[in-house]
Amino acid sequence: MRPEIFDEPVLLWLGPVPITPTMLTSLATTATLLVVFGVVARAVVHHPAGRLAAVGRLTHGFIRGLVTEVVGRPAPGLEIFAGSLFLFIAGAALLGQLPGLAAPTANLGAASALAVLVFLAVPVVGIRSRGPLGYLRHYLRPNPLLFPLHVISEVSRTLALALRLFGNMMSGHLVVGLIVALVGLIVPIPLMLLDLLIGLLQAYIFTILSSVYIGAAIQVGQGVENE
Amino acid sequence: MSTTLANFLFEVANFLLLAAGLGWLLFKPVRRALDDERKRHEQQDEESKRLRDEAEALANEAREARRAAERELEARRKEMLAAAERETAALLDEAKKARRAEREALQGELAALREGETQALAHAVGRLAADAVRGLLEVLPGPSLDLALVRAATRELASLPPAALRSGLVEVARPLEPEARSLLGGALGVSFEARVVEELGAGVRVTTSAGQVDATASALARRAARVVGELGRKAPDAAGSPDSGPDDATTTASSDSATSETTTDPARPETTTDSARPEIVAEPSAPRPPEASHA
Repeated sequence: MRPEIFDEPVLLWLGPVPITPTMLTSLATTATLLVVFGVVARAVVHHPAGRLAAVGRLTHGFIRGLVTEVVGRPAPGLEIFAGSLFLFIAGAALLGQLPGLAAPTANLGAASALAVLVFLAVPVVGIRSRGPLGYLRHYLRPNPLLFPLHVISEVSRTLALALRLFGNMMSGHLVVGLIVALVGLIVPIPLMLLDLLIGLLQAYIFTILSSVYIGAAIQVGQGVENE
Repeated sequence: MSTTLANFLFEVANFLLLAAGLGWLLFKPVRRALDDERKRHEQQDEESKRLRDEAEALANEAREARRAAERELEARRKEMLAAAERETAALLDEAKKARRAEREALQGELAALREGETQALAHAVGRLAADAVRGLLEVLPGPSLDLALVRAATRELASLPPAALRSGLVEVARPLEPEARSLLGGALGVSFEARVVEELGAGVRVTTSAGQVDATASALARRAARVVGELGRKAPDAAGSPDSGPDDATTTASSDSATSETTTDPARPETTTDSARPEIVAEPSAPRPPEASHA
């Protein structure tokens, strides 16, 4: 395995669009998640007493509890968004442990895409909750002079989301690759477990931070409504 | 197009696809299933609550029914107890009445038995007295006994009016001796004809318009039987009545034995315990048919 941080080889070109390994890994992760959780959802519906149904209930309950704890009330749309983020990042971390594969989130473009989606989701949810003017009004509070700071805050936290995820996933993958290149196959296993743990932890962090940001937009709208 | 931009765009599209797919495949069905399950649980909770309420209502009804049953049982028990007490009292009264009636019947039966025994005893005593007199007659010479009885009769005849003596009827057990005849003729004041009646045993019986003087052995026997019968009748009265004592019976007996008696039935045999005092019957006696030849 050749560690690459920013550059990525192009497997093939579909016209002007390059097809990279990250795309294929992301696509494989998505396909695997859809298949696995499709089966799990079917088990929940048709075999509610089975183990797969229990896995589905636990996963749904975990995400629902997380969102409810952050937002303060059940939010089905946010559950889908946050759950997809958690499952995708965790699935990517798991898939990245396979030999010859790298986690898609170890790619800056993929991590940035997820962060940008969160960044875009915040105003969308805020506008849906309060309306455009109501949402934009919170940038002027408590003082219109703080508008630039609000903008910088949202951009910086989005950048922080992307870089945190990318840095953690890429660093772990890079360390494991270096150890494998230097020592062999058996020694990196603890580091791989650590990398897996870091990947799951980053999935949780990314998900909960995204929920906090989006939940804050929802609560801002509710606070304005209450006022 | 750079690979970074291509990755970015692809990841955006890929994540949107993943979110849509998971929302359609996982979250919606699971949420719907969980909602259904929650609703089912809520329905079951409501059903269980309803059943619990019904059970509590039934339990309350059962408790009320049990209390009512206990009250009814207590009332019935008291009623049955009162009825039993009433029945007991009625049975007790009935038993008392029956006992009283039985006692009265037994007392009547006892009195009848005692009366019968007294009469039997009187007859036996009469028979014994008659047998004794008869035995005495067999032992004593007949003229002496007749003479003694005639003397007793003459004393009684002396108390009667002389006019009544003239038409007197004289009956003897056997022909009188001359001395006895003379004594009796002196008492009557006229000559007389004596009719022999062997059943008299001994002595003489004079029947006048003023009364009858019976100084015969049969009169003595009848007198003894009657006295025994009267003593037998007076004895239970003296024993049953606290007012009457044995001294009264003794006095009565002694007075009976000391005085002459009268009777309304001339055919009833009169007796006396005192062989020396013949019996005087104050009422006129019916004429007796001749049963024996005149002496």
